[in-house]
Amino acid sequence: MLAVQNVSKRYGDVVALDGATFEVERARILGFLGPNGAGKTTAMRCIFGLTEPDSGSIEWDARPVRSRDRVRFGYMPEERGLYPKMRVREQLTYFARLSGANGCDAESAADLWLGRFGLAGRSRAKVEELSHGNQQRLQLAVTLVHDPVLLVLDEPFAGLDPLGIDALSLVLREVADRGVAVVFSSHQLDLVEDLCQDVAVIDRGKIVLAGDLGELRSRARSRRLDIMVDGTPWAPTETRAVSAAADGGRCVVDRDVDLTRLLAEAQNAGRVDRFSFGLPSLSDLFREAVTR
Amino acid sequence: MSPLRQTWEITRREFLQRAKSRGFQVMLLVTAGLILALGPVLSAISTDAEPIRAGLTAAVPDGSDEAIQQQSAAVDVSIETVAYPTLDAATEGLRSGAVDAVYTGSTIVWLDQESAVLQSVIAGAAVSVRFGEVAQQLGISETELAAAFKMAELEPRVLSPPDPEAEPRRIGALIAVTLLYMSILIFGQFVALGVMEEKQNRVVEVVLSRVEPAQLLIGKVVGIGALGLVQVVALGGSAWFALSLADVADISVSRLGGEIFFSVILWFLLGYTMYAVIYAALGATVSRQEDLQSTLILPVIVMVPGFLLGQFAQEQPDSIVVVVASLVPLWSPMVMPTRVALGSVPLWQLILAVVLVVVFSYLVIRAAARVYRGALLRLGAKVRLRDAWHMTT
Repeated sequence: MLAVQNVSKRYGDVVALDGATFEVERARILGFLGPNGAGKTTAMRCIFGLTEPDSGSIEWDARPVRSRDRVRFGYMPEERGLYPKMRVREQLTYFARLSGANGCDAESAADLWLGRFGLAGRSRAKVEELSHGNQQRLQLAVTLVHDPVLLVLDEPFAGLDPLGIDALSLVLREVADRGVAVVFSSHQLDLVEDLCQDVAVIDRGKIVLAGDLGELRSRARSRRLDIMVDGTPWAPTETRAVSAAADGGRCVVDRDVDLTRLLAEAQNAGRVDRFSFGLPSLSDLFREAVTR
Repeated sequence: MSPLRQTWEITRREFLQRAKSRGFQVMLLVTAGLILALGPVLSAISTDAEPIRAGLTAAVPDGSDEAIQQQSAAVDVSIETVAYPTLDAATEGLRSGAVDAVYTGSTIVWLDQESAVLQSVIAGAAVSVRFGEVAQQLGISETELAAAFKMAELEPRVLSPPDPEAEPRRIGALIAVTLLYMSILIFGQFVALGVMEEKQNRVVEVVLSRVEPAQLLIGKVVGIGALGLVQVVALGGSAWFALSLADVADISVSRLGGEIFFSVILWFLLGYTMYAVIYAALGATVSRQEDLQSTLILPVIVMVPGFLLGQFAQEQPDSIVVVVASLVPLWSPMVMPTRVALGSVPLWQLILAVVLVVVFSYLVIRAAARVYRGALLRLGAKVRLRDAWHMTT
């Protein structure tokens, strides 16, 4: 398990991380969310020693993370990067060797992942000759080629088409099922909701929400209310927020709201076509957590 | 996974990627070929392949031809003789360029310019022929006559004889300083370019998630340095071989070449390491090709005086300026091997220069590694050296 504990980092007057604390467990996927500039990338860089925290600790299996642990981690930075003049298989083999695989193992691991991502036919091509999509696939293969125990991906879904998103989701699920701890950042909350068991929301360097997604939703103070009166969305006065949905409006209300009274009020307003009350979505939780 | 093995993987990649490049291979082969071609050219110049030809008329005393051959052999000059029946025919040959001079027994006829060598050979031959005639008239052998004249022979004594090695040493020094300057510059720039490209391609963050900046720095400098060593050995070796073939003087050029060759290798390793880490630090401050050009001028400005002093050392190897310059670490790699090639370095100065370079390089590596680490993950705009120095990652 990766434990980021009370990590702070400041660049001059800018506070990038302010006592950030969250955990990534084995065999689970954590969605790391936050507005732009909230500190997601800095936190990920701290895990890999690319950025030195001012204070706090980062531990793997209850021991401070050291260089030899990091070799077993996989990191895909937001700014993707490969050696453009190197051939595809050569590049993959190189990164496998850099992470400790010996010659033969590195080559078979490279072939495995090339096949997995449909790049086997391009193994002798130079990276710069690949299409953008194939470069993305190779980047992911580079992250996975050494069988990491922890996978950290910064915006892995950015720039992928729907098929690419499906393929990557499948890979992440499989990797997590094999026992790997996975954490990725994303702004696509629906995707995170589908894929992740855990989430951590960071805002202005602080973790404002973290834990099991199901528990967070049921523990939330808010609920989702969806009322249609005479074919149009209807919102009660207690509404804290409204999120537009394809089939009408959805409001966020307090979980202790008096439903009987609300139903009566709606019926007074007209014919009630729909009345649903449920747990908040991840995007509701997110908005609530980062509201300023 | 040991850090050493990771560093080795980086070294291996840096070396192989560049060694496999067609551009590098072509450049190396062409340059080595040009240097090897230098051998026969030098050889042709130094041995002066064109023999001197002398026309002899029928009037020359008997034995003149043999005497001319003996005399020319004694002074190591090749002279061909051509016999003409009359002076007119010989003069015609002189005019047409078939011979360089005509000897009639009493005169030497030139076309426009006298040749001191030919003049002395023919004069010597004439004396020799006359010597034979006199001996015959006196009824004694030539040897007895020669013994009678023995007293008159003067034994030469030269106070400061010209060094037969001077010329090959100068050629060696010129090749050494040029090769070192070019190699340190080219492979240093390879390092800066490699560092910049890793930032430009953003691959540096992927690499640094697996290895420490120091490992990446060492791997890169060693890998590219190994490639530089291949070039220096290939080109230096070619020059050594070419000079051996040329046989420009009656000395063992092979031994002298070996001396210069190994000094070049030593100073390449020392000089390259010192400059390569400077180049790496400078390369780390930029993420774009266009920013790199202006940054790379700095080491060139430092190196050029060293190169010029290395040239100057060929004229004045013992001048105080040259001696001091050869002990200044940033210039030693170009000036000291020149002095070594010219054969004028006391051992203590050589050792002192090596020690100074090693100590200075240690300080440079410490500082450059700090700048490199500080600047490496700052992508985009050029990073000022001062900021990189104070940058905490």
